[in-house]
Amino acid sequence: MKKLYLVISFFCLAAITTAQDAPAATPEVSEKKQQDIEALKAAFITKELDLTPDEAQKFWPVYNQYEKEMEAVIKIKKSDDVDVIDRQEKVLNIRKKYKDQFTKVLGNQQRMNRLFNAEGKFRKILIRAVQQRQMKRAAKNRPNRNQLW
Amino acid sequence: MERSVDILNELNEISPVVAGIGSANVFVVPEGYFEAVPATVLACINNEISAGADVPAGYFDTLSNNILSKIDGTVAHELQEISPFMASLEKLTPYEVPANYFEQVAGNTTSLVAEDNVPAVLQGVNKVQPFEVPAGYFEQLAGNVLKKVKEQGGAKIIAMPKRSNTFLKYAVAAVFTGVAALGVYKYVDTTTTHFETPVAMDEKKFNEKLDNVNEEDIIKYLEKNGSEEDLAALSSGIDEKDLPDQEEYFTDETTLDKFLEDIDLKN
Repeated sequence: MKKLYLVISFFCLAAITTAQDAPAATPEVSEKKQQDIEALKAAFITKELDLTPDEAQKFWPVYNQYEKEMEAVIKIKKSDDVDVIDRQEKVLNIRKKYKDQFTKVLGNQQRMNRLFNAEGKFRKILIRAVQQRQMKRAAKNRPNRNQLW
Repeated sequence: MERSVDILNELNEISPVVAGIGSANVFVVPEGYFEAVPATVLACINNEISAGADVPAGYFDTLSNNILSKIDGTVAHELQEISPFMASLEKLTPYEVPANYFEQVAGNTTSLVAEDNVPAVLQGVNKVQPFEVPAGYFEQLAGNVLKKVKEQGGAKIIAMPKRSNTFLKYAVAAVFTGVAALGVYKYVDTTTTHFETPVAMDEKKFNEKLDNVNEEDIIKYLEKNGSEEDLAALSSGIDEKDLPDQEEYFTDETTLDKFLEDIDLKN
């Protein structure tokens, strides 16, 4: 019987430790939110490029590969001792590298241009969304009408 | 048997000659034939036997010898054809048993044993049992063992393990399965990331989804993925001049609502 309890407690312990190994709840939720934004971006690009389902099947694998490479470069920043020009060059090199592939998958250069513009557009939309929320907050906080009346 | 009129008519049409023949039996049995048949058959058989199927005198006595000699002749003839050398060999057994060998064998072996005809090495060995059991040893053995056990304060008591609870067993099994399944699920979940082809959203749905995302998360995303320009635009904050003037709130109660609406329209 003692052995039995030992076994049970062992498994409980194992369960607890594995639970602790897994990332805590908050970063996971945050990760989920980041993925939500990525999904929005994908939807936005699909719309901007007017991708047909067939094109989408060919396009996304290439784009995902491109994003992976971009992520590696984009990681190196947010500190003052990073050479910004150097990083921008790397970004540009990756875009150059994938330019032909995107042109091939999308059919022509115009759509390829639209893709890179869409990326920037999407970020602008996000910035504007943040700014709008900030403005709303500021406007609501400003009058404090309860005190006035 | 009566002949049907129809059959007769038909027969007449086919062959008047046949139809004209009467239905009388053409064969006749001599008188008293069947009474005499058995006697006649028997007489015939007797005649047949006495007539001759004679066996030559002494035929069966010599038959086996005749067959053997014929076989021998053919075998010898055949062997002669195949190998004249082997045919010339005599049919003799090459091994011989000394005279009266089997009569004497039994006596010889017993005499060997009786005379202790053992090798010289073994003759020096004493034929005395080297081990001895004290008198009455086996009679007292059980008592002695018990006495010794009692002297040591009794034998150690080993309890038979109680049968463990079946419910607990199943509970342990369930826990084990659960942990294993969880592990597999977690592993599979992290390794296989399904990529679904994105679908375009209309503007309303897009904005709804965007509204659901926290400001902090958007900022985090931009910090991670945005360019320097994006971050600069983000950190510049809002322009105070864009906000309604403080006095406007006093003059018009709906200032705030109007302003918020304007912001949404610009989206």
